[in-house]
Amino acid sequence: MTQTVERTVDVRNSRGLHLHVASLLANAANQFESDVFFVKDGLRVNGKSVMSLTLLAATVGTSLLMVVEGTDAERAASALEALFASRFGVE
Amino acid sequence: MTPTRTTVQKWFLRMQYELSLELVSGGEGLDRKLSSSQVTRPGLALAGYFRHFDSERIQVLGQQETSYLDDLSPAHRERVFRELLSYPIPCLVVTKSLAISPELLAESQRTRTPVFSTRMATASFIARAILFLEEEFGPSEVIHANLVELYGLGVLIRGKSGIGKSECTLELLKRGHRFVADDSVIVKHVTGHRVIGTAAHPLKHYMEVRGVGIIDVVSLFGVTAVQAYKRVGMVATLETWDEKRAYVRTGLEQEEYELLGETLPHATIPVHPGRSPAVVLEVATMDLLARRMGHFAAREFNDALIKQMQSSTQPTGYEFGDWDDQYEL
Repeated sequence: MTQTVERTVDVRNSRGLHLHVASLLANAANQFESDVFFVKDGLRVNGKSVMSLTLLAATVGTSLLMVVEGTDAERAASALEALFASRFGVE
Repeated sequence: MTPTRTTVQKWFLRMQYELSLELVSGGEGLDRKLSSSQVTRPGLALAGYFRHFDSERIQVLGQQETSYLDDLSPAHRERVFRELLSYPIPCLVVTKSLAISPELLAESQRTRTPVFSTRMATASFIARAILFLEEEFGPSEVIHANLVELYGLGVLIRGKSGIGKSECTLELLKRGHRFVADDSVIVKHVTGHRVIGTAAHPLKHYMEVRGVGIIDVVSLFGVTAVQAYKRVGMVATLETWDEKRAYVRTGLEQEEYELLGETLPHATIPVHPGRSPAVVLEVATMDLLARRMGHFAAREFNDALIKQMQSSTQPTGYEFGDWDDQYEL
């Protein structure tokens, strides 16, 4: 049963969503079957792709809208939200 | 994501050569916003009538306007420009290399309103300027896909994450085709029913390859392996092979895909171990090019088949006589 879940997440890492952090996020998003998107200022990118995430140029303090669509949307959204909150285990 | 504003500076830099524009005065105001795709000749405004004045448009002074202004006294001219430039116009352009009055120059400096001169004739200038503006404000979108140029045709490669778009693109690169964009493509609708694509990422010609990491396409494949912009001529969607799906078997009909209001040819490429999507993509492109030249293989095959079925004698495919001549070693 496909659900759509939307959450607001904040970038807490001092260097923002740079390559390493983007790859951690993309790898995490890929664990789930659902489609994951991040929206910033009207730009909507694919959360499962490292290059797409770097397009956001999300610096520290940026708020992003996370949209998850699929059968495991709830689980995926919670897991990714927790990842942002934990600063991805980095600085 | 369609742009609704640009700046005078951006317009100037982009069109400087095509419109033969020279900045005469008011350069401090180049960051003024341009939000209209229209251009106007402020005839009635010069005569003092400002109701419904299109102040958000680029103002153009041509032969008639300049002649009218020349006939005025310097004091009157000063009043006209003071009122005209009290509005937040993006900029003013004087065509045909006509002389620009000192009153206009003074007021443009005071209000920081850019004034340009061009040697172009008024009508031609207006037509070309509007063309750029309409394209600038035209519909555009960022989509998750790759864009590759095969045999001169731009092919947009779509598909779910992880299906192998990048690997397919790599194989196409190895086969001599050109890389335009990986992962995020900005597609823009421009005049003439065309959709142009380019990499969304400001850091061009980088690709993420799972298992390797980020690669620089130019370093690895060379300068001739990349292209900055390409018109989209075909859309291909990579899909996991599905036993039950009815894939295109004959080609008698052409699949279509709608992108920014334009209808483009479409091919669904099944992805399955042992099947090379790159080769199928190449062939789909080659076939599209053949169709454009008037060769419709499926139709020609069918017509010949029907003709053969209708003829009284049913040849087996070869007669023994032919066989000897052609295959004798």
